[in-house]
Amino acid sequence: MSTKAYVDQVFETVKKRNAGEPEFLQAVTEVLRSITAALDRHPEYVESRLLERVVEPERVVMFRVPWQDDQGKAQVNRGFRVQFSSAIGPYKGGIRFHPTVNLGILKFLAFEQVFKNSLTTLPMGGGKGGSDFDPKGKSDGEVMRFCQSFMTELFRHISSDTDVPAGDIGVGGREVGYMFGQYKRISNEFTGVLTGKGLAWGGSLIRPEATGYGCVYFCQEMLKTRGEDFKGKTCLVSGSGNVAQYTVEKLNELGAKAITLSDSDGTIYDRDGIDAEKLAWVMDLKNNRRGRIREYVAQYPEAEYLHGRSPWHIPAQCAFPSATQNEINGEDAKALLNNGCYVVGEGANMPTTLDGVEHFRAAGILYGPGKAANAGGVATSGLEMAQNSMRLSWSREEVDGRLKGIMASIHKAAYETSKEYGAAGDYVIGANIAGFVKVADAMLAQGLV
Amino acid sequence: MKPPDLRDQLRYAYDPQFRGFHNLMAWRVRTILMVSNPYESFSISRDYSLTQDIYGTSQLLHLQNVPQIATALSGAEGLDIVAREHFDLVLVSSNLPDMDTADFARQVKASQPGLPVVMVVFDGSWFDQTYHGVEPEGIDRTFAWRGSADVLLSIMKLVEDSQNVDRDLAQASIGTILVIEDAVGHYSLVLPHLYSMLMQRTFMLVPEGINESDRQVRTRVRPKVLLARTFGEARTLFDKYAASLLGIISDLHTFHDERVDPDAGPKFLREIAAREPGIPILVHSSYPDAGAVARSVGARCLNKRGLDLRLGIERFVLEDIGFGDFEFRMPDGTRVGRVANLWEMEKALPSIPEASFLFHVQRNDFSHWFRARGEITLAAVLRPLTVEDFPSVDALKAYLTDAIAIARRERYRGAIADFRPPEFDPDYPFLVVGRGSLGGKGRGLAFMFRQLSRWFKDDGLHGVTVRLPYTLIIGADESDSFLRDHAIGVTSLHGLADDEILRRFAGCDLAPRLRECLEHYASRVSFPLAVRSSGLLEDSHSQPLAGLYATYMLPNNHPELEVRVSQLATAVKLVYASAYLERPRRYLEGIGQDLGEARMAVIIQEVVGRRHGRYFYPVISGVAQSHNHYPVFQMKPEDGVATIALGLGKQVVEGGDALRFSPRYPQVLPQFRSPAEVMRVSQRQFFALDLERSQADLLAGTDATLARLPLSQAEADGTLVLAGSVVAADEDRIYDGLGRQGSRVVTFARVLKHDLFPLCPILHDLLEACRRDLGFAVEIEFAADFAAGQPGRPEFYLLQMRPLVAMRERCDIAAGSIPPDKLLCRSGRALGNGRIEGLKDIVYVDRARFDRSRSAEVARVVADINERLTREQRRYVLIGPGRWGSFDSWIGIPVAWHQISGARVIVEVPAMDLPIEPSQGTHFFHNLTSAGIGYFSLSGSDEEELLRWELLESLPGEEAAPAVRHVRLTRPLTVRIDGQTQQGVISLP
Repeated sequence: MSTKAYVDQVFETVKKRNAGEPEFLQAVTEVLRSITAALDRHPEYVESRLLERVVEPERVVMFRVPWQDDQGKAQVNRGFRVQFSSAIGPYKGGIRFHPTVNLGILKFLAFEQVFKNSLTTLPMGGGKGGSDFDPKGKSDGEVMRFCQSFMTELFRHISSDTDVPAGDIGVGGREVGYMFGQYKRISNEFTGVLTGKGLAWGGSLIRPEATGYGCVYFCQEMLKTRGEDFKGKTCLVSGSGNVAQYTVEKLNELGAKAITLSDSDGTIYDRDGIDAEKLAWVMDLKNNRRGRIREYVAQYPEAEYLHGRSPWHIPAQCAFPSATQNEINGEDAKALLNNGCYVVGEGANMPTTLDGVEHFRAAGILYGPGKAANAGGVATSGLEMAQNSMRLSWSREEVDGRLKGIMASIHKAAYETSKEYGAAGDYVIGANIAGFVKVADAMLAQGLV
Repeated sequence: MKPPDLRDQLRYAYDPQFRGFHNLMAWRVRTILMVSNPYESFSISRDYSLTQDIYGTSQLLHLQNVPQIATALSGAEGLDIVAREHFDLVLVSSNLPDMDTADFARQVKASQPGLPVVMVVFDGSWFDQTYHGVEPEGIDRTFAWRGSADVLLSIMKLVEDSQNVDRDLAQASIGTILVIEDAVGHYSLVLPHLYSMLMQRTFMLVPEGINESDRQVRTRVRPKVLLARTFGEARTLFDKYAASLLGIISDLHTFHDERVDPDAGPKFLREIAAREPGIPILVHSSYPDAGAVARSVGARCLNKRGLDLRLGIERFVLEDIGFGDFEFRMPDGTRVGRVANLWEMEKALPSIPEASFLFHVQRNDFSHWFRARGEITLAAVLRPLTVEDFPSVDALKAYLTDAIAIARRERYRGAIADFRPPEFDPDYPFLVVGRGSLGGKGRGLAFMFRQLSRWFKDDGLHGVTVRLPYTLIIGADESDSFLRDHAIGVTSLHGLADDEILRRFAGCDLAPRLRECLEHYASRVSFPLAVRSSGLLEDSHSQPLAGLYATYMLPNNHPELEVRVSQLATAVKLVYASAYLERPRRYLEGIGQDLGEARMAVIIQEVVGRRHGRYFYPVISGVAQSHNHYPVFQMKPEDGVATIALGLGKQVVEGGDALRFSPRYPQVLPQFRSPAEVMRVSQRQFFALDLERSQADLLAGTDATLARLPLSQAEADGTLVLAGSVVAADEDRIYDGLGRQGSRVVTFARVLKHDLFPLCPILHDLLEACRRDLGFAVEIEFAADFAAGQPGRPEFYLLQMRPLVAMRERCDIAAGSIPPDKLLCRSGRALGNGRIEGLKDIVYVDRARFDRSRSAEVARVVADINERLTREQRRYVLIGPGRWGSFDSWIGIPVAWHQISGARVIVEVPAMDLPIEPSQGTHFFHNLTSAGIGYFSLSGSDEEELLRWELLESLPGEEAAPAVRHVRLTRPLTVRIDGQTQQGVISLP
């Protein structure tokens, strides 16, 4: 049977088994399609029916979450934890509280998480959990009571060595705090059972910076493959939130010159570069005054404000889409390439359309897909776990140093894999396969479990 | 004794329903039958032109009714008339032609026992000698006719007083004056003087600043006069009315059991001097020992036979009873000060020498003076207190000053006053200058001012003082005069640009009288002022003109009065001008209103807040509505909704970033679903009055005196700590309060969650009361200022109240009246209110063909259509599956707000395979509500709801992308939403 026929057959089985879970089915399709090359190269995966095993979660827990609202009325929600794969480490993945949460969506998210975590090269398995509880419009008290009830059941299925949930949509620092408190209370132990904790009680530094820093580190590694570094390079950065700000900060540190930032209204273009002082001003503008990026030109009149424009038509060597989904389409990609851009690091999630991605890949530039380039956020979760296990809190520099190391490892894994699969420098192929292969190999090694 | 808590004592003494004054003097003499012989009748009626005289005297004494007088020229005729008609009083001559007066009186009483009968004699001494001070049976009183109407009025008043006294005393703390006199001739002389004096002085004193009609009502607090003919009778009256007694005018010797008892008077006076020391007494006697007796009881003495009777009574009333100015004297009689009213008294007291102060305290002069002014409770609180009750004289002084301050405030509650410059008390909360309408806003304010004191008798709600800012309204007639005086009219302004119109108005002078008033006002008030329009059409039930006219804020702190007055006058003129500017002009034309009706009153209001360095602003400003057109979660429309911001209310009313919540569920803040969302939607800046711009050029605009400040300024001022939270990016969470590093955001968590200030209960109660008393939904503007941990009661200010126009017009959404082939959509979960017309474009995503995995692509196509339609200035109806604006492309179409900004109506339908909750509560939804966009949600499970996809498909249009169609109709469709029932329909033309 050909690989394709095998994949189709597996997919048909998955479809039958998981009818009514379109999100999960789509994720399985995408993953299976992206790893056909790995299957060709590793017939043992096929022979040991690894695909059938990898698409089935190891364990799914579904439970009742009763709680009392502020009016004293009983409310009941449904809680889930999908423990998808512990092949390379304890289950790791966020908890989502949102009314649309159902088993299909959580399976889809947990499945993707398996490979995302694997790509970080850290020992983290994949999982996801949540509830159809909507924290929006709920009082602090209601959220707390819900979180406590949720954890009262979940606590028996997780631990720092079994499953380490984190936050996700609807679960921020507040919810993590409430859940951690309840876990600690009923298990009578203070362990790193959740990540995303407060700094004073087990959280890690560098979380806001991680994605931006990590993306730059990844691109730095890509440049190294060509014997280059960031010194003197002009960079386009879109967005002006955390990712964009810390991208610019790290670029400045590494000797590059970031010349743009943007928001939904338009782009500022500063030919002289957004240096540390200007960046500090932007950070105050965005984080404290929460103003619009156009105010930059009032402060720095030598800069230009391009209303309604994105940065991609401006000549530069590097581009860091750090704002939102689909912000670079085919035309933008062509404009970038025409202007000599040859490094693209995706700080945002899926910022480039499929059309755009194809242009980048076809041009053979250093294109770091978000899956790999923005894994810094996921990596800090792993670093938080490590610190918790060691009963240590690392300094900012230590965390940053380890983040740099992790991004280098991710790059190495993706790059080596791309080379191995005959597409040297195609990080899309590299990232897709590297994440899968690590999990698959571990599963094979651990036998039929 | 321990001095009582002033607030407890005085709070209820001034019932706001004009303290029940309307109910006082309920019994009135309106019709009089005068029975006399023809000669006397002629003498009384003709010679003295009685009717005219009565009318003149009534005017002089500010009487509200002039009695009708019927005459009978014999006893028989009189009895006949009494049998047929109703009378309140019968005056009967002592010489009837056909019967004995006593017989006549007995017969009247036999038929109508309650009808007062007063015998009028021409010679008082005849009566005294004939009857020895005792009227024959059937006669209630005897008076000597002295040839003028004032005797008649005294008779009326005395009869009225005796009828009303018990009832009135039970309702209000009014005073009484006891007159002890047996000689008819004398009391017929004394009483007219006394009444005349009391009525005129009462009218003058009825509180400074009250308007004319209220003054009339308030004159009913005039002290009652009680007439005793014997000391026995006097003792009975004293025993009964001692608590209300203001003074006594007493003869020394009266008939007692038909003989003169020489000791009765002195004995009685000594007794009351001992029982109620300090009660002013005027001994009115011709006996030689009168002076000695008077001195022994600390009384003033007046010779009955002297020529200075009127003057003597006047002095007694003014100086002893306290109807005049208060003269501060040293114990040796040296005058050290003089005050005319409570406000002056309050201001003067601290500087009065201790010896003088003690002198008056020991004489109970303060309580006498207060009592005469109708400040009975104040007098009663102070009277029993002595300096020994206080640790020091200064403490007593402070107590007294405080008492006056509280009494003044209490007295003003709920009463709208005319602005009269010389006696203007800047503490008076609500004043009107000039005639004419108060305008829409002014009317609302006046109503609220009155209602507040009725609703919340203890001054406030939930421990917070609830009041209006100090307000002065310039009546609308002044704007008419201004326009007339300067020949400004619609035609004269035709073709002028806005700035030319403003300059033209600013260049004209206000009427000298109005400017003088403003000068008096500016000279006495030291707080910043807001000058607002109050158009006749503005905020009225049918015309939503709110926000069209101008508001100017003035620091009002320039050291030179002339500059302050000039700024104030300019602001008033520019507010007048604002009605003629392009925007309101076009609006009025649009709704078919005559611009000539754009005249307006002007509201000059204290700006609420406090000074923070060079800036002035309140902690909270906001708008609240008793009806929520966009209720979400457990909220119901009638729970209302509020929007608040830090700083001046401009931030809220002009649609800046502000916090929207339901006062019933203050912790349900859907827009704050995550720290990132809080960063995105919460307030970034705030408005304050810049106190250093006291000379700003107001022609530069209404912002000329305002500053837009960053939150860091509020943090430095100590106000952000009351309203702010911190977003800790490191931890992805929000901490209430500012006690850590991170981005500062305005969440009002300490108010809404931790009850630092009871905003929600206050809003809830206020909106409830408004809705109850008005019968329809209202919108209020408010401000609150407080500081944590500072002494004093926090304050909540009601700035405006207006009917919710849209709510008045319930939209007829009877879907049954729409032909079935025209009905496109029907929902029982529609939000918004009213009729939306003129839409010819529909953009829809067909849910049958919609592929959820391609939602991002659909979003881009919709955005493109939106951009095109927006360019063409065409609003449209947007219909699609799942949640519009969802961050998650799996559950809806992930458009950003600006990508569908042209949608006028949004319809969310369930996706084919996923039940989706409506968009309620997202930031997206927040935009929806603030832009007033119609929103239909279809649940998929309601049998009543409907969306006719096949009809949509049949309409002409273009397929912009798979599943996305843009339909253009030739004639507009109609959208109707009933905000109360949340029913909505969309129908085709």
